[in-house]
Amino acid sequence: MLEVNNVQKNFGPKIAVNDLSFTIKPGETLGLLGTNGAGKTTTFRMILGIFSPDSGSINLDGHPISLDDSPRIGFLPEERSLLQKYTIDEQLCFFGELKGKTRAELAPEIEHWLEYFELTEHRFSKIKELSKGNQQKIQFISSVLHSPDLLILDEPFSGLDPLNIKLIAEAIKQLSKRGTMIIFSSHRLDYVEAFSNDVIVLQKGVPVLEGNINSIKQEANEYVVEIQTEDVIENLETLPFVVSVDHLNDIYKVKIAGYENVDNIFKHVSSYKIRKFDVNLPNLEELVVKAVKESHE
Amino acid sequence: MNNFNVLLKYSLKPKMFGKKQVLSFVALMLLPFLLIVIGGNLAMNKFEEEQGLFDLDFADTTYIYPRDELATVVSTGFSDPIFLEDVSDLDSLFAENEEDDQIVIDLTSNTITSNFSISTTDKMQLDSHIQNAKMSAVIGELPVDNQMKLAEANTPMNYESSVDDDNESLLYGLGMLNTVAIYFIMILGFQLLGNEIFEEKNSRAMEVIITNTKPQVHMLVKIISTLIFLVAMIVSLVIGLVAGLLVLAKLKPDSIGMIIDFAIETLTNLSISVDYTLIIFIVLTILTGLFAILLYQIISAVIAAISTSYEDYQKFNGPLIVFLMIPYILSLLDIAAVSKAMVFIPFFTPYFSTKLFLGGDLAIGMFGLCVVIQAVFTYMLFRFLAPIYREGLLNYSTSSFKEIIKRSYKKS
Repeated sequence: MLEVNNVQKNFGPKIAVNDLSFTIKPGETLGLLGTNGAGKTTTFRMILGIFSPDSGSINLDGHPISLDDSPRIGFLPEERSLLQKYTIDEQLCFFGELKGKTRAELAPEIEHWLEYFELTEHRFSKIKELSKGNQQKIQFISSVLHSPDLLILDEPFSGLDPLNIKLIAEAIKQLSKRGTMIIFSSHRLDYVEAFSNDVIVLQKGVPVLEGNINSIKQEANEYVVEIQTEDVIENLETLPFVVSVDHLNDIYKVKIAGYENVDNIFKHVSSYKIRKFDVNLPNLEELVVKAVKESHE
Repeated sequence: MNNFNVLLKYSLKPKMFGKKQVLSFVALMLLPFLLIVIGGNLAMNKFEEEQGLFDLDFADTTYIYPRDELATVVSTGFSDPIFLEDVSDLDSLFAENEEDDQIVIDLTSNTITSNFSISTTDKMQLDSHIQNAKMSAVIGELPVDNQMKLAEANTPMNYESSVDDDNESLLYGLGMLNTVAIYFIMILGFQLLGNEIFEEKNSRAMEVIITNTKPQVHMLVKIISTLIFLVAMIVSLVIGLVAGLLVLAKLKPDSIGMIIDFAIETLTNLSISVDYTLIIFIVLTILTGLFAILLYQIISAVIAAISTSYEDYQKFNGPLIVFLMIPYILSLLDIAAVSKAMVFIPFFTPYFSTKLFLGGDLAIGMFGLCVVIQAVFTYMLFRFLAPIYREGLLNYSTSSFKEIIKRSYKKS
């Protein structure tokens, strides 16, 4: 289990991370979100043992995390982090051996993952000869090759086509099922929503939204009612429980406050010719944007 | 230490075990090998030919000339004596010297020996006069078509001196060799290390590497792997040299004896006795070179670590290469007072220490002190710059170098 307790990190007068706490249990996935400079990278670096927090603590299975735990951690950085002069085999062996594995231990794992990503034929090709997508796949393999207990994925889908996104997504799900703790960061909030149990949104080092994604949505107590009609619905915006209205073609997306108002809006539109009336929880993106806006205020 | 062995293995691999690298090492071995085998063979052939020629019968041909008698007769042993003509310009040669200066001309061994220093220009003049005299003798006594004898008479004289003249030349030669060798090793090591670290940082592979190892260990590994590479290069040259000598010995058995004689003569000329002083000198010479390389390596590593672009890296690399040239140039200028001061500057010590010691201007104790200063300074520099190196590796901002160093030090 990874426990981050009231962690703070300053760089001179600048507070990079302030009072951050979260816990991840085996098999759980946490989405760590935030704009550039929000403190995600500093948080990752503290978990990876590169920086020590100024206050607070980070524990892995009960003991303070350090560089000695690196064999238990997998890390996929946001940028391409491969040595271009190496072949795929050399690159994977290098990063695998850095994690304390021997070549013999790594060989079947390399074979398995290259086969999974259909890269077996490129095993002895130089990294620089690979496409960006294939390089990203190699980077992903190098982060999971040693079967880590904790996996940190910073923008894992960057530069990938939908087919390969599906492959990596499936691999992440499998790792999670096997009990790997995963911290996941992406600007694509739909991915975060699809993979994560919990989410933390950082803004200038401070968590502005955190918790279980479903709970956050429930607590927001806002619902999106999707109404399809060819008629023009009048006075929707004037209803006191309506937060916002988006109208595109024949679809109305009406955000309402409180589940109890679903009946009220249904009554309001019942006189129109309705083809579809659907009630959804708001998506994560809307909640994140709202939380960040509120933090500015 | 975290992953020291793994990092060292993967740092050495592309430097030493790639196809191109192996070919480079083979080329390095071939260079002295071919030089020794071909050059030595040609030299030995020439020597053997000359050996055959030097049986011209210059009977009783050793002459000692006190300075005031130089312009007298040189006998060739042939029926008529011949004269060194027009030696007036050689008077200046003696004018600057003492009353008891002497020149010994030995036509049998084709050697001129003096008990005072003779400038290269004067040597050339003297040689020209003696050759003219010999040619006159040969042409006068032998059939004109005896080209071999003419060629022999035309052979330049060898010079030896009973004073430190040759010693100084030898010293200067060794000093030059030492300086040039150190300079090129420094430059090569400096560039190699910096490029490797910058490449890792630029590829962002560093982000992953330093999540598995301490930055200080990373820097140490890079320095050690570069040193191993440099040593491997030197070893390749030595292997080529030894192999060349062995092949030459097989082809020309006399050559090895001559080389050994030359080595002994060199040591004798430098007044170096084979005792513990020589051993200490060798150890100190290696240590001083090693510490100086380490100092430059540390600087190079830090510059590469804090550079965020190749332009940045070059911007700082350039002036440092110039800084590297300062001791090199000063050493070549050979100004005694400057050398004696520079030897105590840790970055510059090896450029001056060897020459000063061999010239008797640096006692073994002082040499040892220089090395101690270097060791302490190297340690302090490492301690001071290691935190900047660590912060620099993770820094990708485009701020000025000054800002980066300031911020890195604050962060550290």
